[in-house]
Amino acid sequence: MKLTRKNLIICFIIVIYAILGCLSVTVRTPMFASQVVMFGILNGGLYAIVAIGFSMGITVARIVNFFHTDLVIFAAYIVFWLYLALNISPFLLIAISTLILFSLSVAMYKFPLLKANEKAQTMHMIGPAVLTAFGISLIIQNVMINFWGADARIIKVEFGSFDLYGIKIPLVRLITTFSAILLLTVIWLFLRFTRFGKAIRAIAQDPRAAQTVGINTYRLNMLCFALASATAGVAGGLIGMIYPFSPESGLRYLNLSATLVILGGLSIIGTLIAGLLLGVAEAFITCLLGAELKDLLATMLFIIVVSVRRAFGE
Amino acid sequence: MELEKKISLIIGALAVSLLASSPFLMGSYATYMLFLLLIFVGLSSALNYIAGFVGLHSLGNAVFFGIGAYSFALIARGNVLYAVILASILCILCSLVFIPMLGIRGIYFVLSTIFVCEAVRLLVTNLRDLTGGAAGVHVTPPPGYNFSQVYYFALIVALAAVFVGYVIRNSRAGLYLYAIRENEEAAAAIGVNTVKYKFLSLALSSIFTGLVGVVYAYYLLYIDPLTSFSVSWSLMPLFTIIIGGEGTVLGPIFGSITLIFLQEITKPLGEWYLTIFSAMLIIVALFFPEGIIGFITRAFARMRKAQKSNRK
Repeated sequence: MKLTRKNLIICFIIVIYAILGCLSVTVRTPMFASQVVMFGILNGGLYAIVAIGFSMGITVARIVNFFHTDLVIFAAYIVFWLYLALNISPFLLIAISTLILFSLSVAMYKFPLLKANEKAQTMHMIGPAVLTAFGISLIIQNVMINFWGADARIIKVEFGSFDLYGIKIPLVRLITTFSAILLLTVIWLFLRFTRFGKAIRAIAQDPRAAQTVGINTYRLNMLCFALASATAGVAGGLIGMIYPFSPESGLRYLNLSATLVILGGLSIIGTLIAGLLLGVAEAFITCLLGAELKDLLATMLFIIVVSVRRAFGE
Repeated sequence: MELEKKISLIIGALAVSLLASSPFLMGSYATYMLFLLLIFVGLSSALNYIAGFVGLHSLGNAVFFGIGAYSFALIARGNVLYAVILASILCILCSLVFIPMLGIRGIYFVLSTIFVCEAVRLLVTNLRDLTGGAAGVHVTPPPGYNFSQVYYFALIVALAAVFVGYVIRNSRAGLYLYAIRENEEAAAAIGVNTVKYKFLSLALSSIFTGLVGVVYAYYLLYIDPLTSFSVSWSLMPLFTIIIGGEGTVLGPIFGSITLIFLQEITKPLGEWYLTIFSAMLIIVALFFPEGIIGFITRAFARMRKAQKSNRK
């Protein structure tokens, strides 16, 4: 099962890169191509950090969390707002947004989400779960519009940029991507080496077996969901410094993170690699076809990969 | 049973005649609300064929809605009959795209249908020469255009959607669809061609969603990609189905009435209305998981049981 999936992903990536490589070499110089690759990698780290929270919520805590990317945008607004009000470094404010999202998600898990999702797993009644997820998404969007308006905002941080053998790199982007990858590493170490992480991995494999060996699945699921939402707090703050965001921009990140979940699975390294590759492919498409069509790549990739995997009987 | 059937027929006939006479009897605002209700009844009955009967919660139906609206505005240029035929054909063709996705289940189907909707919206926005891009398309009003015309068109489409739902529910194909919803492997094992029946219900669903799209474009006479391919055209109908009761013929109607009612009573809250409205939707969905119809049938069953035990 794992082999076919890996093969498929590799095939897709090879096809995409073959096309893009041919195009880029014929259109522009190699210098330009390496610049594009650099920007793609810098984007990819951020995509991975959004996707890992989404994937933890949906596969380990088993909550239909389509509102995860709206939480990301919400966190971006919190950081933006506090930055305007207090004028402290936004990297410190990310801690506050993370705390807020953590407690908010614990509350949300206790009331609507647990009740909505309990039947989704055993009886395949996903109706209430899907409705609750989109209802929460609508609520978050409405709250953001009422508090901060519908205009696109950005967290303004200026660090300048530097040259790396002729490739221009803005320092902000390097810092944000670096912190994203750092956080991913921390999550990985945590899941790999602590007792808590072991328990979470056990739940992800088989919740009932985990329960029989004495793991408190209710509390761990709640903590896992809250941690996943807390990563949204970090991701929101980092993304807000790079890209303009508006209350409706959650859907775009939902595309990206769902695609990464499909490509990378639960494994953090897989998600990171998929994120970097998707980032690079998007950067190429942006340069060659225009920025409006880059969202099409993630959506198409998701649809094709899911359909093909289904056709192979996975 | 016979008496119940007669009563429900009489109630149905009364409701239809009330709806048909409302442009003459009621004020313009009430008629507009009924028009909105008809649009929701049409959309959610159409979505019910695939989401309720088969259990595939498709959020890609907005694609068909947009295709209907665009075929009215761009190609038919305001000719309703032409638009109806064209929208049906185009929607069937477009539902062919969904065939590879019909095997996916659960939330991944939901996600991939949303993404189909997003992809089509992006394409329509970016193919400026073909579709007019993000600026949208204006339609010159056809001669003799007035609101009651649009209203009756909406009424016909909504009634047809409900009627087709009734026919499917009471046919052999409907039983197959139920079998697929309850257990796909078992249905396939006894010889149901699952892909064929799933596609059939999706195609029917797409036709009626497209027709509601035509109604919408006929009403507004202006369309743009952001509103006509918006996910809310399949999200709100999904809400109404879940509230009304999945897989029932009357569920979408009751769900739409509930939705419009909730929308109206939360409107005085101004900008916070969407928050309260969504919270109410969540609460209704959580405490009536089988929908209003499921709740009513269970109450009736309990009553009947009580009567029987009394007689004994």
